[in-house]
Amino acid sequence: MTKNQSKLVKVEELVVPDLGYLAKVYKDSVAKADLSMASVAEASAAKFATAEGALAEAVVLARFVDDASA
Amino acid sequence: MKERRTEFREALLPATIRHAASRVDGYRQLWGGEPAVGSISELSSLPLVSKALMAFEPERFRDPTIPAVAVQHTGGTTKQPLLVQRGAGELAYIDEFFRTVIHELGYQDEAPLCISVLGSFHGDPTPMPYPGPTFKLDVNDDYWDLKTLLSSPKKVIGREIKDIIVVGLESQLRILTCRLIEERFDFSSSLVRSLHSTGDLVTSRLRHFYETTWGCVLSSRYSMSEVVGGAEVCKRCGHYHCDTHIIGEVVDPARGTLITEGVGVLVLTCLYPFVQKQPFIRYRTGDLVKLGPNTCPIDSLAFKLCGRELHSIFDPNSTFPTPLVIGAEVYDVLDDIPDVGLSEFTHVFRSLDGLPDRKDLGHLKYKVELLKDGKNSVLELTVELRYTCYLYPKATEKVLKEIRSRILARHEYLKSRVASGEVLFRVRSALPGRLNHVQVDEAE
Repeated sequence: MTKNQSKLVKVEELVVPDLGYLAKVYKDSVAKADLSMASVAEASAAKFATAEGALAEAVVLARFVDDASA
Repeated sequence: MKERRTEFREALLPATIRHAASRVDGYRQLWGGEPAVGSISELSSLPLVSKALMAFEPERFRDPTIPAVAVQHTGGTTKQPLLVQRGAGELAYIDEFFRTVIHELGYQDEAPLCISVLGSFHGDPTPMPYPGPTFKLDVNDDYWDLKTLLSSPKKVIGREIKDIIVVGLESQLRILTCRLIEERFDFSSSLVRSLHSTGDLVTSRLRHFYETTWGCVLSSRYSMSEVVGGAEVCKRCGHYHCDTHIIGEVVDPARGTLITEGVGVLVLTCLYPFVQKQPFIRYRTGDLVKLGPNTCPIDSLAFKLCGRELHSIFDPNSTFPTPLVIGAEVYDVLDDIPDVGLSEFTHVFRSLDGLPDRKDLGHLKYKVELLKDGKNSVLELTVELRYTCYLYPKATEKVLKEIRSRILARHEYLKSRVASGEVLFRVRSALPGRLNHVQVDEAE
């Protein structure tokens, strides 16, 4: 059994790694991505905030397209 | 870091495939059962899924065992709005996961005040935790004193704030910035240290406008309504990398096969359990990207954004996907020419006071088509001008020549095809409000 397999848990009949383990891997994948800790904080903060915004793209744009082609 | 991203993605890929194959009819039928895909390199053996396919029979691409608790929708920029349903389990997982990541990063107390100007589009948003105080601002709401909020936020939100980031749709950032200029705000008094836009591409002119007005950097995040996650510009290589919790690929626009260089369509896979009710696996985004070098230590997939696929034109005679014009480049050129007409914000900002002219807040009005004239290919760009072209023939002629020259300067391949006579490049003008009806002048 590998180290990762020991952390496996069942989620709705589907096996996915433990959330805590995934969060650590995720952190490692982003924490050193930028050159300074300040920019890491800023980039991560913006990422979390805009993730909500990912769902808020321009309905406006659709209206502009319609407007433009009217 | 590259290895950690791969480890994260490959840890969730088998469950992602198994979930879709076992619970979602559309994928099961498309794949003919459960495919043996255990690594990212094997993902390309699966067929692509388009928005058209999902929009045609959306229920087939949803897990019927999960009740929908949130309904979201795409903007319809492709004229094919797609409803996206989300279940309670995935929303709870996203929330718990990112709270844990924030805790792991350990900078809760350092995070700046996040002022978000995202608007209230696209249905119920997916809630996301943020490692600091947040303030959601509606740019239509004149209740708040914007100048005080940005320069002395403690007076508004009641706690000490060292600095601020502003996050929002580019259209909303533009309204906010214009309102502050009209109100003669002293931007040097603002605590804003960075701007983060999402939604539309930010042109060179707009980036310069924002950064010189606010005196800080603007970063532009790639995201789309359907996908929980997106991409950000890497400070090392200057290209976009996908977030760790999604998988990105780039394919040939015509054949759908993976490409490792050149311009292609971005394909995204959302990972279980971040997405459960309505999985997106090898989802063709409709966004064109230009691949960068695969040598960045952060992520091997690096790209620049080229705009919507439908706004670019590829050379039909080329064996390799080669664009004659790239949508983002055309938009960037036209955006710098104030003669080009824009749509108004009349639908969304009917009540907006304080901005005397809203004509500068919309999107550029133009269209690009590849036509056939006998044996010749004709690339035709039609641009709606702000004025009646035939009343200003000299100005019209001058601006059309300028547009043609600047676009050719940014497209070497097109330039070579025009020089060899294989493609005729024509720029035409349209009267205000008549983009699809009347062309008066042209430059060839």
